[in-house]
Amino acid sequence: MHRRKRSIVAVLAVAAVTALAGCSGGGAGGGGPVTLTFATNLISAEENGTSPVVKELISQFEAQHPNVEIEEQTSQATALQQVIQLAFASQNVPDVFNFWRPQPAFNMDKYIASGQLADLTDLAGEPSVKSVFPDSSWETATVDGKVWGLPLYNFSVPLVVNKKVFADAGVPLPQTWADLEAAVPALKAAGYVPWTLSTQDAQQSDDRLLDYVLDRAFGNDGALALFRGERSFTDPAVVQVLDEYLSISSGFGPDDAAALDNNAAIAKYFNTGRSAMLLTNSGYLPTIDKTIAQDMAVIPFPTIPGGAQIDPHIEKDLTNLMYASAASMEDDTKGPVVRDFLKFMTSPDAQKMFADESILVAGVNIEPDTAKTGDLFAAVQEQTSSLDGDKWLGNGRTPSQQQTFYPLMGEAWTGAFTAQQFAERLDAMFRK
Amino acid sequence: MGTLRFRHWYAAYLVPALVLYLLFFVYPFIQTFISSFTSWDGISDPVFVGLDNYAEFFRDSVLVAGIGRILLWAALAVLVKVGLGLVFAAMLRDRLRGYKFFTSVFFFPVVISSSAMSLIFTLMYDNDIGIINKGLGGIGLGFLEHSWLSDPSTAFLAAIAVPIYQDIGFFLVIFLAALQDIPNEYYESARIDGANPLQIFFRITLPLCLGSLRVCTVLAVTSAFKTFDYIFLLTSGGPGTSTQVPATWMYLQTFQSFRYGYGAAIAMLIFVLSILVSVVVMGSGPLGRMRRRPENVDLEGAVA
Repeated sequence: MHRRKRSIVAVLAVAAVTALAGCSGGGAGGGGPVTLTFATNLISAEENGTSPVVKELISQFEAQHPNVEIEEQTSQATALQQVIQLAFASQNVPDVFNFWRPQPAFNMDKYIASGQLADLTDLAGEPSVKSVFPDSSWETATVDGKVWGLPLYNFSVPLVVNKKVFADAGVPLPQTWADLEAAVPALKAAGYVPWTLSTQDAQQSDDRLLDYVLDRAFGNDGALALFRGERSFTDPAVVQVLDEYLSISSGFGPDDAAALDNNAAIAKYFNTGRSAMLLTNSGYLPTIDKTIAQDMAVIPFPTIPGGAQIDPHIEKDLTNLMYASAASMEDDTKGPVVRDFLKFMTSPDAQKMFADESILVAGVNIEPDTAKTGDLFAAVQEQTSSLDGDKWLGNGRTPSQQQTFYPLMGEAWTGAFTAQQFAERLDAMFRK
Repeated sequence: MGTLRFRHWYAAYLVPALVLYLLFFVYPFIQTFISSFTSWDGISDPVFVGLDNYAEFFRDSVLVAGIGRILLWAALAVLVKVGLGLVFAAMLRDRLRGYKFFTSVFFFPVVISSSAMSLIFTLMYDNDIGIINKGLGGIGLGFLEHSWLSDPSTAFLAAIAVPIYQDIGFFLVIFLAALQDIPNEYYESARIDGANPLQIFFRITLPLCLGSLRVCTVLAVTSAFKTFDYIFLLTSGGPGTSTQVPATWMYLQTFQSFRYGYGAAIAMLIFVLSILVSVVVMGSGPLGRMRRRPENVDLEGAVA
């Protein structure tokens, strides 16, 4: 009996030691197995855009580091914000993750203040890393003199038009603001949906047109001041601009814009030639059907007569960075692997792979293979690099304001408001 | 025959269940209650704000409108889910030909996940390829075709139609079990005395399944108060905020606005509303006062 008990104790002890060794798998020393958790929204069900690149990069990294396993924690689009918020709240930050810019609009100020986010200043200072990206990217990645993320890729908001739809509707491509004001109702009258978009809150894409109109009218700083509450939306000059905005937006999106996400809206309307214009994040370019890309053109969003912007600008910025948890970076075993992974994911070779999938990379001197990307992406890339940049106006909004702002935008697209009503609602939301 | 004596150490058998209950219900509940008096972003230290979160209810027009919506939802849920469940169960009680087939057909939607149901109905509601618009067009009602989930005037009803439809089978099964406990003699006596089907339903079936009716009513109402998934999956609270309900609003406040304190206060509101309904229906309400007793059956009155 005693012998049996001793055997059970011995088995349990071995099991416990094995289990503990397993638990510390990520921290085992001496070249033992290391598991890195990687929270990302770059891997999705669609086999386009960032998905194939990130999968391939992980596979390559694991092949180069046989003792390392990358454990993917995937989430879709903006759902990553909740995942990362919960990770910081529970002090269980993934070893590495990609995320938006280190700005309050994404709650990053809180994450930095919590001390759980790794300071990557030393890593960013390495010549092989620093030289990959332009100064503008490093400025965006820096808060209070410290670099918190390594740049991954940029976004821009090009105005993509379907030339065939315009031609079939007998409407000229808009070169001026007056052209655009005339084109939108004419397209609708001809049976086309003027703008392809989703008005679902989580898609955060129905504010692009408003951004452009406000930027053109008041300049990027002036428009940002409105959302920072430094200027009133009910100012008569602003109300007039909002009226012009509503005249080209209200009722001119898809009827079911609230029931479609961005991918579905593009597939249903833009890729089928039922819609004329797409004004959205360049990250959605890979979803445009390449077989009809020859019908597409990229044109500058027109300037508004009397507006602050005389030359066309384009909304663009660094949009995705790689971050790491402070605890992982400080870990003797994981730290070097995390550094290697961050450098690998943002290396020129990785940037080239992203560029070849029609992603606007942050790196300098990265030339995509135009045979793969097609002419449309080349045009977007050319326009993005040649035009001056405007910051996304969401930079002036807090996460809480975002949540009430997007439903309001969705309602505005349905024609629920007059300009004065719209201005008052915006003012109540943002005016300090 | 021996008598089972109570011994104090028997209480030890309750410990595992009690620990789980304390750990997964009582503790989170207390935490939520405490959080509802704080302003907390989930990262920084919580700040005590007293009743501010509760006072904000009265200024939060989205929440107030959402409460109105769940009251409407609860009313429709009781009428349709419970009502049709009971009616169908009464029809199937007599084991008509195809009894098993119809029971399975009614119950089948219950086993489908909410995400699958939402996907199916998203396609059915589609303005171009949806079977609803196609059907309307096919019978000459094309003028009624539109985007059911994108039109603020129809989006909420279209969204809640899905869980209401899906749960009918669940309630049917509960009622069917209850009705099969009713002795056949009551029905036979009533028929011999010349009672018609309606009289039998109201004088025999209904009084004898009041216990199940109370439970089903509470389930229907509380599920309307706390359901999150269908609204989130079908409309995400849109267009605008036209389909927001307290459960989705709580989620948005907590996980997108990072206002954990206010989200916790909304959770407490949903809890209180659910408890109120349960107490009224199960305890002191008209249904609660009635007891499931054979003497409630008015066999004589069943004959006109």
